[in-house]
Order: sequence, then C-alpha cells, then structure tokens
Amino acid sequence: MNAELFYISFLILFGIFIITLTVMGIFLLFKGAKNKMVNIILVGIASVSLPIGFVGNFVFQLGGTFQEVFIVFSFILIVIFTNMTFYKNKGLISKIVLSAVILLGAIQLGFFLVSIFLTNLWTLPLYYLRVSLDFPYTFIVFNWLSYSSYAAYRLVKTQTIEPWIKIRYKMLAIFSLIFSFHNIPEFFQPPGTAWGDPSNIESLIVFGFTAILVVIFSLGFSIAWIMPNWLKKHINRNYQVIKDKEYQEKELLDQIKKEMSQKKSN
Amino acid sequence: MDIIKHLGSRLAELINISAPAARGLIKLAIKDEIGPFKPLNQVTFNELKTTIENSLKKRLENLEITTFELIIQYLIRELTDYQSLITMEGV
Repeated sequence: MNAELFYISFLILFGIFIITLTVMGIFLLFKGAKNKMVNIILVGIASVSLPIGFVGNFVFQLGGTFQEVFIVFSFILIVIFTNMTFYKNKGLISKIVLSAVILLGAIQLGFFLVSIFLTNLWTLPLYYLRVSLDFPYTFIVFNWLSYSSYAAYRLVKTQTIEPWIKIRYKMLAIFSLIFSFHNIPEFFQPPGTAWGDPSNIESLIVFGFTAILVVIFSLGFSIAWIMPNWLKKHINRNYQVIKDKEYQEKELLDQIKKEMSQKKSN
Repeated sequence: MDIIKHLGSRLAELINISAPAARGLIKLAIKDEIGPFKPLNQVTFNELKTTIENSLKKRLENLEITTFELIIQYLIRELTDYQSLITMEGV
C-alpha cells in the first residue's frame, strides 16, 4: 500500500516536470519569436520535445524508441543553444562537443533499435553498456550548459550588470549541473523491470530519485527563464538603473570632442 | 542593453570619454549599420560585430583616434567574451 502511495507521488512529480517543461518551452518559443532570437526558439523546441517523448511513451504507449528520438533531438538542440549563446567566434571546442553529442545520441538510438528489433542480441552486458554510454551523453549536454553559464557568470559577476541577469546565469549553471546526473539512478534499475514498478522496491527508489532530480531541474530552469518582473525588481532593489540622455548626433559628437580635448589638456 | 553598457564602459576607458558618451557613440554606430527602426534588444551578436567592424571603426577614425584598429580588435574580443548577455537579458 505504501509502495503504491510512493509510486503515485513520484508519478505526480513526473507530471509536474512534464507540465513545467512544456510551459517553459512554449514561453521560450513565444519570446524567441517575438525578439527574433533563434537560439531561444531552439531551446524552446528542445523543452517541448522532451515532454512529447515522455508522454508518447508512457501515456500513448508509442515505445521507448519514440521517446529516445525526441530525447536525442532535444539534447542536440540544447547543445546548439549553448553553442549559439556562448561560443560564437570561439573556435573548435563547441563543434567537438556537438559532434560528440550527435554520436552518443546516435549510439543510444542504435541500442534502442537493437533492443526492439534484434531481441536475441539484447543481452545484460549490452544493457549496461547502453546505460554506461548514456551517462557521458547526458553529462556532456548539461554540463556543457552548466560550465558555459558558470564561466560567463564569473566574467559578469564583477561588472555593473543588473543583478537578476547574474542570478539567471547562476541558476542555469546550478540546475543544469543537477540535471547532468539524472541518469545515474538508471544504473540501479533492475533490467527487465518496468520503471517505478511498485512491487519492486529497487525500481521504485530509482524512479523516485529520477523524479526528484528532474522536477528540481524543471522548476529551477523555469524560474530562471520565466522570472517574473516582481522578482527581477526585488533582486535589483539595490541596483541603480542607468537612464541615458538621448543625444542628437551633432550634440553627441561635440560632447565627445569636448571631453577628449579636456582630457588631453589635463 | 547591458552588452552596450559593457562595451560602452570599455570604449570610454580606451578613448578617455565618459561612459554615457561612449554608449551614445555605439548606439549611433548601430543606427548607421542596421537602421533606426530595429529595437536595441533585438540586435544580434553578428549585427553588433559588424557594427563594431564597420561603422564604429569609421566613427573612431573620424574622431582622429589613431589607435582605432587596436580598439576595434579589443571590442570584438569583449563582445565575444560577453556574447551571452545578449540572450540572458533578452528573455
């Protein structure tokens, strides 16, 4: 009876994860289209793709491969988002990360196809090989975003930049880092058992841990992106917003020349 | 926009003018490059880069700043390092 109760609680957490991710994805799609930001549109599509994969598999029983296609698609878009946001004009490293994620995603898809169409080849070592390769795959995608956000945060933290923007960097770094470990419980999932099966305590614990990790990520990520104005104002409460005087062109150039000549004479 | 504020502060230090005047100069250069109708919060990384390389460079030349090439290189490096600000403040 208690196991059933835990199972339902974890299912609710997964429901929260799916709903928050969908709402955030739609919000980002809308914002990206409004501000003509391709990277935001891509991360919006990625955020909507994950719930489509999960709902397709668990609700409409379209299978693990269906889910995996959407996960691979979503993860690749997240890396493209990271590269477009942090790594324009910054050399090869972003392309190497993207290539690695595409390769690891293709390997995951390959494993799923083998498990469905070549069942006689699908052995326990192969299952653990898939889970082992799933770890670097997830880890690279979300650590790349986490590391990039943290590195950018270190640059901006001493600059005169609105505090809510600095908080957004920090939140993206922290919650991406948390999510990058979300497949670790999968190592302990008993093979051949349904996810979260209430009659199998190990599977239920794995399901619970995963549910908690993903819900922390989705809530944190959503607050970072859909930060309400009152919260931005509260975070900015000690920050003096600079309002620039609107100069006419001639007036501004005269002012600059005057300032330059004053500095020279000093 | 914080990215313009940041580049403006750097430019101000480099050519010895006040930060508001430097920001004004960058905004003028953006207008030269992409026209007056695009809102500043929709200016992309590539548009800012082109602005610095073309119209801002010309304006620095016109102000008889001899080290304009070095200043442009420095501002492009700053833009590249701080590029994520465009996204972070744009949503």
